[in-house]
Formats: sequence, structure tokens, C-alpha cells
Amino acid sequence: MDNLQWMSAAALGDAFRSGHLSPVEALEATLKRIAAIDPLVNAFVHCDAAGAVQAAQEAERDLRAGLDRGPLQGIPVGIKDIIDVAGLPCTCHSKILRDHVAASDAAAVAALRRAGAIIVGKLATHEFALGGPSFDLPFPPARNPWNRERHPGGSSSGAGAGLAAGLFPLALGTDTGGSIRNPASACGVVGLKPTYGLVSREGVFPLAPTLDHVGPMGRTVADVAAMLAVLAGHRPAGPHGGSSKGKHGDVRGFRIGYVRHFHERDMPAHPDVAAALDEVAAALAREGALIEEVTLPALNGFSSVNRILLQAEAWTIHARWLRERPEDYAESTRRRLLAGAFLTAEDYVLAQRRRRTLIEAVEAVMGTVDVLLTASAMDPPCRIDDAAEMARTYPRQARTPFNVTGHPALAMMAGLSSDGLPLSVQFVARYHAEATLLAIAAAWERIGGWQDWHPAALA
Amino acid sequence: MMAKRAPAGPDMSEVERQVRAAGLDRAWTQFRDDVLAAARQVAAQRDAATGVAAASEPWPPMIVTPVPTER
Repeated sequence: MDNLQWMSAAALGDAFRSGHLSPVEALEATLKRIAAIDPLVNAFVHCDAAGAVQAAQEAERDLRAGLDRGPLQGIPVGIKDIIDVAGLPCTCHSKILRDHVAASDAAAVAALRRAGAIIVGKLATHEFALGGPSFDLPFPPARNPWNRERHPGGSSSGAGAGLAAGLFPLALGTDTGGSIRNPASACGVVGLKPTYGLVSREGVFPLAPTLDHVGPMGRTVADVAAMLAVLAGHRPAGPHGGSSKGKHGDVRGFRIGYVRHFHERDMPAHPDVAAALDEVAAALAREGALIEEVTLPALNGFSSVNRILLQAEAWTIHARWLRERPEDYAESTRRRLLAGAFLTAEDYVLAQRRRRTLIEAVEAVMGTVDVLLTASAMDPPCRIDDAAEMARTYPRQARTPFNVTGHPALAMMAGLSSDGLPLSVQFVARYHAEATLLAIAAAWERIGGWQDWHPAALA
Repeated sequence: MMAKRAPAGPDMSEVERQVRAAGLDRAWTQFRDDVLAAARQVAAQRDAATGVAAASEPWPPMIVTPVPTER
């Protein structure tokens, strides 16, 4: 079959069931592409070809025997390298855990295996899922397939890069301050941070437990929806109690709150980003959605709360290593983690109290709309080796508010910048309303046809 | 016109006291710049953060509605 590298999980599943392709054939093509392309984008820390072949053979045998485990059966999936996969390294992309091998599967990985997914390996991350790309670590940073001189976002950087490079159709990421949605935005794929707690964090190396989320990434909204159903253990309920609203990407009557002040006043966005967001709103309005401008608390209030909580919680996890082997961290990780030593109990409790006020403010607005439409990244991805520009642009984003509040949020492509880099949009829904979020995202995908946009250099 | 005053940096003796209390002597010896950068960052973000004035609600922990809220 042609263009196997860009096939969605759904299309692969159809091909398996119609007999046009087998899981083993699909995996062989996947491994061949990983061998050829991964050295260009560094998506993998560890590729488990042997384990994947064995799992593909099992999936093939089960399908032939009529044992259908659902849409992920036989589908290659990459796992961020802070998530345990039994028998594979779990290095957190760090010298500190370079020799660590996981004894058992994380709960999310176990759920994927039960659904017949093929674990192809462990994916690059920022060290311990914190900060930005570093060049002083045991593994190179992942690169953006749209332009390999640019950063791919992070910290689930290998997931974003590998999806955009056609190395696998699905990946498992984590998100504490935007780490699923950032690479989805930078690499032009789909990343969903579910409602806080919906997907188990058991077996995932923590960064900041009250902000950490585990979630799916893919090249299509339907694939992300299918993976979420497996991770959550159930298919999210219909968007409106079983009514037809939202089905088949029909957005007529949806009330969408456009948070324009995030990218106009709080952090003025690159003109290409602002234009893309206006186009998303206009296109959904043409489809029958009701767009209204809404106001949330300013972005810097969310980001300061996120930073204090993250640093305080991460300190409790890393304090011992920072005392005993600070030289084994990348410089940027060390600086960020050390900040936790200077925070007080008062700082943490006050940040938690401010968090409650922010949640109440967002909830008040969410009660008036079905979905929020906001910026994700304020800028197209910059050069990966430009430390000053990385430091300037990396915090310019509107993702952390929904780690602070725990609302489900999805980032996806919204076009290309004038220099050919992915632009993005973020949709946010009420707690546990992932189905609504996916319905809006599916509509925007249908309008833009983003699932068919791939980096030309890696076609 | 009055000149804009630069924000005060962290008090070095206070930083050193906190470093010792946190057991970061090794980092203080090897990576003093990183430690100071972290201390400066915390001081700046503490200045920027808006406090909660009242002693009453809201208080942590965060509460996430445990059941679907879709209509």
C-alpha cells in the first residue's frame, strides 16, 4: 500500500480488517521508516523493534482468529520516555536515570496493550518533562519535521516530531504546563490533555502531581478520540446527553467563547497566529456555531500560579538528586528545579488559593458556552539553537491556564505561517466534556483538511 | 522624569542561609550562577504574584467535579 506512513490508525484498522494489510506488514514498514527518518528528527530515545514485532504477530494472530480488540489493535504507538513500559528503559531523557529499566507497565500503557496496540518504543522528552530542548543530555533533542532547524515543542517533543514525520500514527504524552499541546501545536498534529485525573498517572514519572495529565496525541481527531476511549476505559459520553448535536462534525448551535484577550492584550501574538485564530472563529461561525467573545482572568495570573505549584511540587521529587548530584542535570533543568528550594509553604498555599479563584472564574465562563477557542502558541516555533529566542517565546502560550484549572483542552493545526511552519488553535471544554471538545476539533479538521498536511521534506 | 528603579536582587546572606537549609551546598559550590538565577526567579515571581487578601475561602485542595457535567 502507498503512503502507509501517513495512514491514520482508523485507516490502518480498516485495512487490517479488510485483509488489504496485516499488522506485521504495517509494523515492518513503520520500522523501516523509523530507521530511515528518525536520525533526522531524533523522535526516539529507544526503539523496541523486537518487542513490537512480537506484539504485531500476536495482533495478527488474534485478528485472524476473530478476536477483535477494537480500533487500536495492531496500531504502532510511541510512548514518552517518562512513562513506564515493562522491560524498556525509562530514562526521562536524563543522565540521572540513564540506566533505569521499568519493571512494569504504567496503567495507561497496560490499557493500550490490552487494546492490542503495538508499543514501538520510548520517545524523546525534555529532561524530566521540564523546560526546553537541551544539548547537554545523553540523547539529542527532537527536531521539528517541518523545519529541522526549529524546535518541535515539548516536553512531549518526540511524540510531536514522530507523528509529524510519519513514524507512528499515535503517541502517549504528558502535560503539566502544556507539554502535549505544545508539540501538537509546533508539529501540526492533534494533542489532547484530558480532564485532570481522567487518565491514570500510575507509572508515570511525576513532574508536579496536581498539574500532571496523561493524554493521547495523533494525526487525526478520530484517532485521538479512539485512543482516549482506551486510556479512559470508556468512550466519552455524547456531547449533549445523546442528542445529535455535534455528531459528524456538525457544529450548528454550538456556543463558542473566543478568548481573544489572551493573544491580543495579555501576550500579543505573532500576526500569523492572530490571523489564523480569527479564521478558525470565522470558519466555525460559517458552519453555524455561535461565536461570542469572552473574558477570562489574564494569562500572567495563571502562569505565575502554575510556575509556583510546579516548582514547589517538582522540588519535593528532585531535592535529593539536586543535593547529591546536581552536575547530572542539564543546566536549564537544574536552574528551573532549584527554584523550588526558595519557595516557602506560604508561597505554595497562596498559589493554591489563587488557583481556586482562577478555577471559579473559568467555571463561571464555561457555564455560558460549550467550548472556549483560544491561542495555544503565540509564535511559530523558533530555531532550536537560539537560546535567547527560545527563552523569549517558550512561555508565550495559553496552555497553562487549563493545567491550573484541570479542564480538558486540545491543540491542533490552524494553517501554516508565512515561512511554512505550523500554526495552532486550542479548544477547551467543561470538565469531562471531551466528546464536545472532539466534536468541535473534528469540525475544524474537516474544514481545514489538516490531517492531509505533512512536511514536504519528509513525504 | 524619575528613573525606573531596578527590582531588588535577592539578599546574598539570605540566599546562602536558604541554600544551607535546603542542603544544596554542593550545587552552591559547583553551580552558584544557577542557584542565584533560581533565587532571582523566585523573588521576581513572588513580586509579580497577586495575593489572596481574605482569610476565608477559597482554600485548597482543588476540587474537580467528579461526574460528567455535559448537558
